[in-house]
Amino acid sequence: MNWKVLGAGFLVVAPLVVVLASGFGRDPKALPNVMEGREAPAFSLSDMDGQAVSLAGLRGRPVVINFWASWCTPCAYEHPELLAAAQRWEPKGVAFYGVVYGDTEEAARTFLKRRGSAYPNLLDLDQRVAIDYGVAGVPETYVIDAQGRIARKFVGPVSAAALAEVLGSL
Amino acid sequence: MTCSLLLLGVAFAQDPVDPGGAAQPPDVEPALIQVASEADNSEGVGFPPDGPPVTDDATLEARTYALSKGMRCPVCQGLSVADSGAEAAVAMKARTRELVGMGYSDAQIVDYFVGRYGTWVLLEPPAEGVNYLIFLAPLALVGLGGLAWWSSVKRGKDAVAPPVPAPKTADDDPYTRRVLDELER
Repeated sequence: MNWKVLGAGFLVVAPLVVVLASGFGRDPKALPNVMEGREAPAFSLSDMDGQAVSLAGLRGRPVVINFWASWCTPCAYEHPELLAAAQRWEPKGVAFYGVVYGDTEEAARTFLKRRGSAYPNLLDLDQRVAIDYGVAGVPETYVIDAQGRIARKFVGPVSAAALAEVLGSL
Repeated sequence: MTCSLLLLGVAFAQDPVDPGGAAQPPDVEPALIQVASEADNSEGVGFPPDGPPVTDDATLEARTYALSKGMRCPVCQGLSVADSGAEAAVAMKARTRELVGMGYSDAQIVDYFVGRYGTWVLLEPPAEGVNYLIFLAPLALVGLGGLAWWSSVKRGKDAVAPPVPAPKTADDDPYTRRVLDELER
């Protein structure tokens, strides 16, 4: 047995195994979550009735912001969950807002007419607010606490139970 | 070897446990957030710290292109923001152009995006922390290769030529004896 060759081979292979082991252990498409715990970026958008809504005006109560689009299948899938969560938590002082992402107002209206709505939806058609929040795709849901910090960021469809867990702890 | 280097690069570029990269200079962040919130009523936004707005179209486009070329599109992840036609990339490009137009420096704009998407958004990982491995590994490998080559050359020179074996004679072994006998017949 040639111990030198074996040792050199080990030196080359071992780091590779470590890199592959850690690399395969996570989703390469997942973005790092850097927004959690930070102050939520301020915004002022108008809802579908032309009413202006600003985050600053909501200070003092928890806010749930859901970025969605009518063309997004997982958004349709999570929609009933959000409606259920809003029904349960809005009486307790939590504000729910949808933010329409990369969509037309008309398509968004059709979506809401078909699937129901329980809270105002804001128009962010140029995606400026979405970029401010670091949204990479829809759906994404942000839970902002009463002090205006992002308590939790959900990427992908969210369930009423998962929202309840975060809102209950605020 | 190129392949493993590539893997190293990918692995570390995406490493979410590196909080250093996401850190932002405290003096940049509040100003940008303020601009972001006030931009709807675009009047009343003061000059950003870097200087007056860029009005020259060629400069604006060139800087927007250069900046978005270095950022990764969050949807079609193999492409840069400049090369991607995805909705998110187009919006990021528009935002970049807007910030350039307002007079923010390249570093401030990169910080703005890194603060939201992490160092993940940079196509070239920043040279800091554990990422130094990616930049140093090729040098280390070239060094190791040189060392191996040098030691093998040295060993070749130092080695004493092996003694030339004496030609075989019939006395050496019975087999050769028999072969020679057959030939002589």
